[in-house]
Amino acid sequence: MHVTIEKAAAWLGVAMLGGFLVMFWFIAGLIPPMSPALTAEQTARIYSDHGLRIRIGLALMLLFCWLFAPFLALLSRQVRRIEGYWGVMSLTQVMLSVTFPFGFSLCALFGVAAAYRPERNPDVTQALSDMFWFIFVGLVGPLITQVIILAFCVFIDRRQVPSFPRWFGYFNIWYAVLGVPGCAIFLFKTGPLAWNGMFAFWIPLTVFCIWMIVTAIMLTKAVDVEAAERKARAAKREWEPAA
Amino acid sequence: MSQTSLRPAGGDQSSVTRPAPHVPGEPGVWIFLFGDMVVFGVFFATFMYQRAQAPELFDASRHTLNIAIGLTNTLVLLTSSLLVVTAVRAIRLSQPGAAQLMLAGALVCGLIFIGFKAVEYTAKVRAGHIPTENNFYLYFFILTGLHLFHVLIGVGVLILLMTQARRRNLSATRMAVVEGGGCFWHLVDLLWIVLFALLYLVS
Repeated sequence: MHVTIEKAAAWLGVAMLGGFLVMFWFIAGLIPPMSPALTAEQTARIYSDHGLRIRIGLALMLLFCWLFAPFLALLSRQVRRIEGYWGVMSLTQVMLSVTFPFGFSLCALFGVAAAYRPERNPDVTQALSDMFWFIFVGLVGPLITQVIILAFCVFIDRRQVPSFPRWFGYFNIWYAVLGVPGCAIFLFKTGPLAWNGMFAFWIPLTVFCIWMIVTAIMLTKAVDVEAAERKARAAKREWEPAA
Repeated sequence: MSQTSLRPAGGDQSSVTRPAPHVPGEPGVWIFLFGDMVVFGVFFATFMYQRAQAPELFDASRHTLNIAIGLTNTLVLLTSSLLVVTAVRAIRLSQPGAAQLMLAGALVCGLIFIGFKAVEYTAKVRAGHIPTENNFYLYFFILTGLHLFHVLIGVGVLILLMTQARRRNLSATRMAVVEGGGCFWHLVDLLWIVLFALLYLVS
Protein backbone atom coordinates (compact mmCIF):
# COMPACT_ATOMS: atom_id res chain seq x y z
CA MET A 1 0.00 0.00 0.00
CA HIS A 2 2.63 2.53 0.92
CA VAL A 3 4.40 2.03 -2.43
CA THR A 4 1.21 3.35 -4.02
CA ILE A 5 1.00 6.25 -1.57
CA GLU A 6 4.62 7.26 -2.08
CA LYS A 7 4.40 7.09 -5.86
CA ALA A 8 1.23 9.14 -5.67
CA ALA A 9 3.19 11.72 -3.65
CA ALA A 10 5.84 11.88 -6.38
CA TRP A 11 3.26 12.37 -9.14
CA LEU A 12 1.36 14.88 -7.01
CA GLY A 13 4.51 17.04 -7.28
CA VAL A 14 4.26 16.97 -11.07
CA ALA A 15 0.53 17.65 -10.93
CA MET A 16 1.18 20.64 -8.67
CA LEU A 17 3.82 21.91 -11.08
CA GLY A 18 1.14 21.85 -13.78
CA GLY A 19 -1.30 23.47 -11.37
CA PHE A 20 1.17 26.24 -10.56
CA LEU A 21 1.71 26.99 -14.26
CA VAL A 22 -2.04 27.05 -14.92
CA MET A 23 -2.76 29.29 -11.92
CA PHE A 24 0.08 31.76 -12.47
CA TRP A 25 0.22 31.74 -16.25
CA PHE A 26 -3.29 31.14 -17.59
CA ILE A 27 -5.54 32.25 -14.75
CA ALA A 28 -3.61 35.09 -13.08
CA GLY A 29 -1.68 36.06 -16.21
CA LEU A 30 1.40 36.94 -14.13
CA ILE A 31 3.67 34.93 -16.46
CA PRO A 32 5.21 36.43 -18.59
CA PRO A 33 6.13 38.89 -15.80
CA MET A 34 5.44 42.62 -15.98
CA SER A 35 8.51 44.81 -16.32
CA PRO A 36 10.13 46.08 -13.12
CA ALA A 37 10.79 49.36 -14.97
CA LEU A 38 7.06 50.27 -15.07
CA THR A 39 5.96 53.32 -13.11
CA ALA A 40 3.74 52.96 -10.05
CA GLU A 41 0.71 54.06 -12.10
CA GLN A 42 1.36 51.51 -14.86
CA THR A 43 1.87 48.73 -12.31
CA ALA A 44 -1.28 49.67 -10.41
CA ARG A 45 -3.22 49.74 -13.70
CA ILE A 46 -2.27 46.12 -14.42
CA TYR A 47 -3.49 45.08 -10.96
CA SER A 48 -6.77 46.95 -11.35
CA ASP A 49 -7.45 45.91 -14.98
CA HIS A 50 -6.72 42.24 -14.29
CA GLY A 51 -7.57 42.32 -10.58
CA LEU A 52 -10.16 39.57 -10.62
CA ARG A 53 -8.13 37.00 -12.54
CA ILE A 54 -5.03 37.75 -10.47
CA ARG A 55 -6.99 37.27 -7.25
CA ILE A 56 -8.62 34.04 -8.47
CA GLY A 57 -5.32 32.55 -9.68
CA LEU A 58 -3.41 33.44 -6.55
CA ALA A 59 -6.26 32.41 -4.23
CA LEU A 60 -6.20 28.98 -5.85
CA MET A 61 -2.44 28.86 -5.35
CA LEU A 62 -2.86 29.78 -1.68
CA LEU A 63 -5.29 26.91 -1.31
CA PHE A 64 -3.37 24.29 -3.24
CA CYS A 65 0.36 25.06 -2.88
CA TRP A 66 0.43 22.93 0.30
CA LEU A 67 0.01 19.88 -1.91
CA PHE A 68 3.70 20.22 -2.75
CA ALA A 69 4.33 18.93 0.79
CA PRO A 70 3.91 15.16 0.16
CA PHE A 71 6.42 15.38 -2.71
CA LEU A 72 8.92 17.10 -0.41
CA ALA A 73 8.21 14.62 2.38
CA LEU A 74 9.09 11.78 0.03
CA LEU A 75 12.25 13.61 -1.01
CA SER A 76 13.28 14.03 2.64
CA ARG A 77 12.51 10.37 3.39
CA GLN A 78 14.75 9.22 0.57
CA VAL A 79 17.57 11.45 1.80
CA ARG A 80 17.00 9.95 5.26
CA ARG A 81 17.30 6.45 3.76
CA ILE A 82 20.65 7.29 2.17
CA GLU A 83 21.92 8.90 5.36
CA GLY A 84 20.69 5.91 7.41
CA TYR A 85 19.32 7.90 10.35
CA TRP A 86 17.83 11.32 11.03
CA GLY A 87 21.10 13.16 10.55
CA VAL A 88 21.96 16.69 9.56
CA MET A 89 21.30 16.21 5.84
CA SER A 90 17.83 14.71 6.19
CA LEU A 91 16.81 17.15 8.92
CA THR A 92 18.00 20.13 6.87
CA GLN A 93 16.06 18.68 3.96
CA VAL A 94 12.91 18.55 6.12
CA MET A 95 13.36 22.09 7.41
CA LEU A 96 13.91 23.57 3.96
CA SER A 97 11.01 21.53 2.59
CA VAL A 98 8.79 23.41 5.03
CA THR A 99 9.81 26.70 3.41
CA PHE A 100 8.90 25.50 -0.10
CA PRO A 101 5.09 25.90 0.06
CA PHE A 102 5.59 29.07 2.09
CA GLY A 103 7.62 30.56 -0.76
CA PHE A 104 4.64 30.14 -3.05
CA SER A 105 2.00 31.16 -0.50
CA LEU A 106 3.86 34.24 0.78
CA CYS A 107 4.34 35.65 -2.70
CA ALA A 108 0.72 34.87 -3.53
CA LEU A 109 -0.42 36.72 -0.40
CA PHE A 110 1.41 39.88 -1.49
CA GLY A 111 0.02 39.48 -5.02
CA VAL A 112 -3.61 39.23 -3.86
CA ALA A 113 -3.05 42.14 -1.50
CA ALA A 114 -1.81 44.23 -4.45
CA ALA A 115 -4.90 43.36 -6.51
CA TYR A 116 -7.41 43.57 -3.65
CA ARG A 117 -7.98 47.39 -3.57
CA PRO A 118 -7.74 48.90 -7.05
CA GLU A 119 -8.77 52.34 -5.75
CA ARG A 120 -5.79 52.80 -3.43
CA ASN A 121 -2.59 54.85 -3.90
CA PRO A 122 -0.55 53.30 -6.79
CA ASP A 123 2.68 53.56 -4.77
CA VAL A 124 1.33 51.08 -2.23
CA THR A 125 0.25 48.68 -4.97
CA GLN A 126 3.70 48.91 -6.52
CA ALA A 127 5.39 48.13 -3.20
CA LEU A 128 3.18 45.07 -2.71
CA SER A 129 3.82 44.03 -6.28
CA ASP A 130 7.58 44.32 -5.73
CA MET A 131 7.27 42.06 -2.70
CA PHE A 132 5.39 39.54 -4.83
CA TRP A 133 8.15 39.39 -7.45
CA PHE A 134 11.00 39.47 -4.94
CA ILE A 135 9.65 36.41 -3.14
CA PHE A 136 8.47 34.61 -6.27
CA VAL A 137 11.63 35.02 -8.35
CA GLY A 138 14.33 36.16 -5.93
CA LEU A 139 13.99 33.75 -3.02
CA VAL A 140 16.14 30.98 -4.49
CA GLY A 141 18.36 30.06 -1.54
CA PRO A 142 16.23 27.38 0.17
CA LEU A 143 15.59 25.35 -2.96
CA ILE A 144 19.22 25.58 -4.12
CA THR A 145 20.42 24.37 -0.71
CA GLN A 146 17.96 21.46 -0.85
CA VAL A 147 19.14 20.50 -4.30
CA ILE A 148 22.83 20.64 -3.34
CA ILE A 149 22.17 18.41 -0.32
CA LEU A 150 20.32 16.01 -2.59
CA ALA A 151 23.26 15.94 -5.05
CA PHE A 152 25.68 15.34 -2.20
CA CYS A 153 23.55 12.42 -0.94
CA VAL A 154 23.49 10.84 -4.39
CA PHE A 155 27.28 10.99 -4.54
CA ILE A 156 27.94 9.51 -1.09
CA ASP A 157 25.39 6.69 -1.41
CA ARG A 158 27.62 3.62 -1.00
CA ARG A 159 24.89 0.98 -0.65
CA GLN A 160 24.82 -2.03 -2.94
CA VAL A 161 21.71 -0.81 -4.74
CA PRO A 162 21.72 3.01 -4.50
CA SER A 163 18.41 4.84 -4.48
CA PHE A 164 19.41 7.25 -7.25
CA PRO A 165 21.72 6.94 -10.28
CA ARG A 166 24.86 9.09 -10.10
CA TRP A 167 23.89 11.24 -13.09
CA PHE A 168 20.97 12.48 -11.02
CA GLY A 169 23.54 14.04 -8.69
CA TYR A 170 25.16 15.94 -11.54
CA PHE A 171 21.72 16.90 -12.80
CA ASN A 172 20.97 18.48 -9.42
CA ILE A 173 24.22 20.46 -9.49
CA TRP A 174 23.25 21.72 -12.93
CA TYR A 175 19.93 22.92 -11.56
CA ALA A 176 21.60 24.54 -8.55
CA VAL A 177 24.04 26.51 -10.74
CA LEU A 178 21.30 27.75 -13.06
CA GLY A 179 19.01 28.67 -10.18
CA VAL A 180 21.51 31.09 -8.65
CA PRO A 181 21.03 34.09 -11.05
CA GLY A 182 17.54 34.59 -9.59
CA CYS A 183 19.15 36.10 -6.49
CA ALA A 184 20.39 39.07 -8.56
CA ILE A 185 16.94 40.52 -9.36
CA PHE A 186 17.17 42.97 -6.44
CA LEU A 187 19.97 44.81 -8.27
CA PHE A 188 18.38 45.28 -11.71
CA LYS A 189 15.30 46.94 -13.18
CA THR A 190 15.98 46.03 -16.82
CA GLY A 191 17.98 43.45 -18.73
CA PRO A 192 18.45 39.71 -18.39
CA LEU A 193 18.86 39.75 -14.60
CA ALA A 194 15.70 41.75 -13.90
CA TRP A 195 12.77 39.69 -12.60
CA ASN A 196 11.35 39.39 -16.12
CA GLY A 197 14.75 38.66 -17.67
CA MET A 198 16.06 35.68 -19.57
CA PHE A 199 18.73 34.67 -17.01
CA ALA A 200 16.84 35.42 -13.81
CA PHE A 201 13.36 34.26 -14.79
CA TRP A 202 12.94 32.22 -17.96
CA ILE A 203 15.91 29.89 -17.66
CA PRO A 204 15.38 29.20 -13.93
CA LEU A 205 11.66 28.59 -14.55
CA THR A 206 12.38 26.15 -17.39
CA VAL A 207 15.02 24.35 -15.37
CA PHE A 208 12.72 24.21 -12.32
CA CYS A 209 10.01 22.52 -14.41
CA ILE A 210 12.51 20.00 -15.79
CA TRP A 211 13.84 19.39 -12.27
CA MET A 212 10.38 18.72 -10.80
CA ILE A 213 9.55 16.19 -13.52
CA VAL A 214 12.91 14.39 -13.45
CA THR A 215 12.95 14.32 -9.65
CA ALA A 216 9.42 12.89 -9.53
CA ILE A 217 10.45 10.08 -11.90
CA MET A 218 13.62 9.40 -9.90
CA LEU A 219 11.62 9.33 -6.65
CA THR A 220 9.24 6.70 -8.01
CA LYS A 221 12.28 4.58 -8.92
CA ALA A 222 13.77 5.10 -5.47
CA VAL A 223 10.47 3.89 -3.99
CA ASP A 224 10.81 0.70 -6.06
CA VAL A 225 14.37 0.22 -4.80
CA GLU A 226 13.15 0.61 -1.24
CA ALA A 227 10.26 -1.83 -1.79
CA ALA A 228 12.63 -4.47 -3.20
CA GLU A 229 14.95 -3.98 -0.24
CA ARG A 230 12.08 -4.40 2.19
CA LYS A 231 10.94 -7.57 0.41
CA ALA A 232 14.44 -9.08 0.60
CA ARG A 233 14.60 -8.20 4.31
CA ALA A 234 11.21 -9.78 4.94
CA ALA A 235 12.32 -12.98 3.19
CA LYS A 236 15.34 -13.15 5.45
CA ARG A 237 13.11 -12.35 8.45
CA GLU A 238 15.20 -9.32 9.36
CA TRP A 239 13.73 -6.58 11.45
CA GLU A 240 13.28 -3.29 9.72
CA PRO A 241 15.49 -0.65 11.36
CA ALA A 242 13.54 1.86 13.36
CA ALA A 243 12.73 4.93 11.34
CA MET B 1 43.74 3.15 -27.83
CA SER B 2 46.61 0.69 -27.45
CA GLN B 3 44.26 -2.28 -27.80
CA THR B 4 43.30 -1.27 -31.31
CA SER B 5 46.89 -1.29 -32.50
CA LEU B 6 47.31 -4.82 -31.13
CA ARG B 7 44.61 -6.08 -33.47
CA PRO B 8 46.00 -8.98 -35.58
CA ALA B 9 46.59 -7.78 -39.15
CA GLY B 10 45.01 -10.67 -41.05
CA GLY B 11 42.55 -11.72 -38.37
CA ASP B 12 38.84 -12.06 -38.78
CA GLN B 13 37.61 -8.52 -38.16
CA SER B 14 34.23 -9.55 -36.81
CA SER B 15 35.71 -11.71 -34.04
CA VAL B 16 37.93 -8.92 -32.75
CA THR B 17 36.38 -7.36 -29.69
CA ARG B 18 36.37 -3.62 -29.88
CA PRO B 19 37.45 -1.83 -26.72
CA ALA B 20 34.44 -0.24 -25.08
CA PRO B 21 34.30 3.48 -25.89
CA HIS B 22 35.73 5.46 -23.00
CA VAL B 23 33.73 8.43 -21.82
CA PRO B 24 35.92 10.81 -19.78
CA GLY B 25 34.63 11.02 -16.24
CA GLU B 26 31.34 9.23 -15.91
CA PRO B 27 28.38 9.54 -18.27
CA GLY B 28 26.42 11.43 -15.60
CA VAL B 29 28.83 14.33 -15.45
CA TRP B 30 28.06 15.12 -19.08
CA ILE B 31 24.45 15.84 -18.13
CA PHE B 32 25.81 18.75 -16.15
CA LEU B 33 28.46 19.77 -18.70
CA PHE B 34 26.18 19.67 -21.75
CA GLY B 35 23.33 21.23 -19.78
CA ASP B 36 25.60 24.09 -18.81
CA MET B 37 26.86 24.50 -22.37
CA VAL B 38 23.30 24.66 -23.72
CA VAL B 39 22.38 27.39 -21.26
CA PHE B 40 25.53 29.38 -22.01
CA GLY B 41 24.60 28.95 -25.67
CA VAL B 42 21.30 30.67 -24.87
CA PHE B 43 23.23 33.44 -23.04
CA PHE B 44 25.49 33.96 -26.07
CA ALA B 45 22.51 34.01 -28.42
CA THR B 46 20.81 36.62 -26.22
CA PHE B 47 23.95 38.74 -26.34
CA MET B 48 24.17 38.44 -30.14
CA TYR B 49 20.51 39.41 -30.44
CA GLN B 50 21.03 42.49 -28.26
CA ARG B 51 24.16 43.36 -30.25
CA ALA B 52 22.19 43.24 -33.48
CA GLN B 53 19.79 45.82 -31.97
CA ALA B 54 22.58 48.40 -31.46
CA PRO B 55 25.70 47.41 -33.43
CA GLU B 56 27.42 50.83 -33.25
CA LEU B 57 27.01 51.12 -29.49
CA PHE B 58 28.34 47.60 -28.92
CA ASP B 59 31.31 48.15 -31.22
CA ALA B 60 32.21 51.49 -29.63
CA SER B 61 31.96 50.00 -26.13
CA ARG B 62 34.00 46.98 -27.18
CA HIS B 63 36.93 49.28 -27.95
CA THR B 64 36.95 50.54 -24.36
CA LEU B 65 37.76 47.01 -23.11
CA ASN B 66 41.34 46.13 -22.25
CA ILE B 67 42.30 43.41 -24.75
CA ALA B 68 45.64 42.83 -22.99
CA ILE B 69 43.90 41.69 -19.81
CA GLY B 70 41.45 39.55 -21.77
CA LEU B 71 44.20 37.90 -23.77
CA THR B 72 46.37 37.31 -20.69
CA ASN B 73 43.44 35.67 -18.96
CA THR B 74 42.84 33.47 -22.01
CA LEU B 75 46.46 32.32 -21.96
CA VAL B 76 46.32 31.78 -18.17
CA LEU B 77 43.27 29.54 -18.52
CA LEU B 78 44.73 27.62 -21.47
CA THR B 79 47.87 26.96 -19.42
CA SER B 80 45.79 25.77 -16.49
CA SER B 81 43.85 23.41 -18.77
CA LEU B 82 47.12 21.92 -19.99
CA LEU B 83 48.26 21.48 -16.37
CA VAL B 84 45.00 19.73 -15.49
CA VAL B 85 45.35 17.32 -18.43
CA THR B 86 48.90 16.50 -17.33
CA ALA B 87 47.78 16.12 -13.72
CA VAL B 88 45.00 13.67 -14.62
CA ARG B 89 47.54 11.66 -16.61
CA ALA B 90 49.91 11.68 -13.61
CA ILE B 91 47.12 10.49 -11.32
CA ARG B 92 46.39 7.66 -13.71
CA LEU B 93 50.09 6.68 -13.65
CA SER B 94 50.05 6.84 -9.82
CA GLN B 95 52.45 9.76 -9.51
CA PRO B 96 50.82 11.71 -6.70
CA GLY B 97 53.69 14.17 -6.31
CA ALA B 98 53.67 15.31 -9.93
CA ALA B 99 49.87 15.39 -10.02
CA GLN B 100 49.64 17.61 -6.96
CA LEU B 101 52.25 19.96 -8.33
CA MET B 102 50.38 20.31 -11.64
CA LEU B 103 47.07 20.84 -9.86
CA ALA B 104 48.63 23.46 -7.60
CA GLY B 105 49.86 25.21 -10.76
CA ALA B 106 46.37 25.07 -12.26
CA LEU B 107 44.94 26.44 -9.02
CA VAL B 108 47.40 29.35 -9.09
CA CYS B 109 46.34 30.03 -12.70
CA GLY B 110 42.72 30.09 -11.56
CA LEU B 111 43.55 32.58 -8.82
CA ILE B 112 45.53 34.74 -11.27
CA PHE B 113 42.47 34.77 -13.53
CA ILE B 114 40.30 35.93 -10.63
CA GLY B 115 42.89 38.57 -9.72
CA PHE B 116 43.00 40.00 -13.24
CA LYS B 117 39.22 40.00 -13.36
CA ALA B 118 39.11 42.01 -10.14
CA VAL B 119 41.64 44.49 -11.56
CA GLU B 120 39.60 44.76 -14.77
CA TYR B 121 36.28 45.26 -12.95
CA THR B 122 37.79 47.92 -10.69
CA ALA B 123 39.28 49.80 -13.65
CA LYS B 124 35.97 49.66 -15.54
CA VAL B 125 33.93 50.93 -12.60
CA ARG B 126 36.49 53.70 -11.92
CA ALA B 127 36.17 54.80 -15.56
CA GLY B 128 32.40 55.01 -15.12
CA HIS B 129 31.61 51.86 -17.10
CA ILE B 130 28.97 50.34 -14.85
CA PRO B 131 26.22 47.84 -15.83
CA THR B 132 23.62 50.59 -16.04
CA GLU B 133 25.69 52.64 -18.52
CA ASN B 134 24.48 50.75 -21.60
CA ASN B 135 23.44 47.30 -22.77
CA PHE B 136 26.96 46.30 -23.72
CA TYR B 137 28.28 46.84 -20.22
CA LEU B 138 25.18 45.24 -18.72
CA TYR B 139 25.91 42.06 -20.66
CA PHE B 140 29.65 42.38 -20.15
CA PHE B 141 29.29 42.31 -16.37
CA ILE B 142 26.59 39.65 -16.32
CA LEU B 143 28.28 37.23 -18.72
CA THR B 144 31.78 37.62 -17.26
CA GLY B 145 30.23 37.51 -13.76
CA LEU B 146 28.45 34.22 -14.47
CA HIS B 147 31.70 32.88 -15.89
CA LEU B 148 33.59 34.09 -12.83
CA PHE B 149 31.06 32.19 -10.71
CA HIS B 150 32.04 29.08 -12.69
CA VAL B 151 35.73 29.81 -12.11
CA LEU B 152 35.07 29.99 -8.36
CA ILE B 153 33.29 26.61 -8.47
CA GLY B 154 36.22 25.36 -10.58
CA VAL B 155 38.72 26.45 -7.92
CA GLY B 156 36.74 24.35 -5.43
CA VAL B 157 36.83 21.43 -7.87
CA LEU B 158 40.62 21.77 -8.28
CA ILE B 159 41.06 21.67 -4.49
CA LEU B 160 38.91 18.51 -4.44
CA LEU B 161 41.14 17.00 -7.15
CA MET B 162 44.23 17.82 -5.10
CA THR B 163 42.85 15.87 -2.15
CA GLN B 164 42.21 12.92 -4.47
CA ALA B 165 45.65 13.15 -6.09
CA ARG B 166 47.27 12.30 -2.77
CA ARG B 167 45.90 8.74 -2.92
CA ARG B 168 47.97 6.12 -4.70
CA ASN B 169 45.41 3.70 -6.13
CA LEU B 170 42.13 5.35 -6.95
CA SER B 171 38.98 3.26 -7.26
CA ALA B 172 37.15 3.40 -10.58
CA THR B 173 34.56 5.78 -9.09
CA ARG B 174 37.19 8.15 -7.71
CA MET B 175 39.08 8.13 -11.00
CA ALA B 176 35.82 8.99 -12.78
CA VAL B 177 35.24 11.86 -10.35
CA VAL B 178 38.77 13.12 -11.03
CA GLU B 179 38.24 12.99 -14.79
CA GLY B 180 34.85 14.64 -14.44
CA GLY B 181 36.40 17.44 -12.40
CA GLY B 182 39.07 17.89 -15.06
CA CYS B 183 36.36 18.10 -17.73
CA PHE B 184 34.60 20.80 -15.72
CA TRP B 185 37.77 22.89 -15.66
CA HIS B 186 38.07 22.48 -19.43
CA LEU B 187 34.46 23.67 -19.74
CA VAL B 188 35.37 26.80 -17.75
CA ASP B 189 38.26 27.34 -20.15
CA LEU B 190 36.11 26.71 -23.24
CA LEU B 191 33.37 29.10 -22.10
CA TRP B 192 35.95 31.82 -21.51
CA ILE B 193 37.42 31.41 -25.00
CA VAL B 194 33.96 31.89 -26.54
CA LEU B 195 33.28 34.79 -24.18
CA PHE B 196 36.62 36.44 -24.96
CA ALA B 197 35.96 36.23 -28.68
CA LEU B 198 32.39 37.44 -28.30
CA LEU B 199 33.04 40.40 -26.00
CA TYR B 200 36.54 41.57 -26.91
CA LEU B 201 37.12 40.60 -30.53
CA VAL B 202 34.01 40.26 -32.72
CA SER B 203 33.40 43.52 -34.51
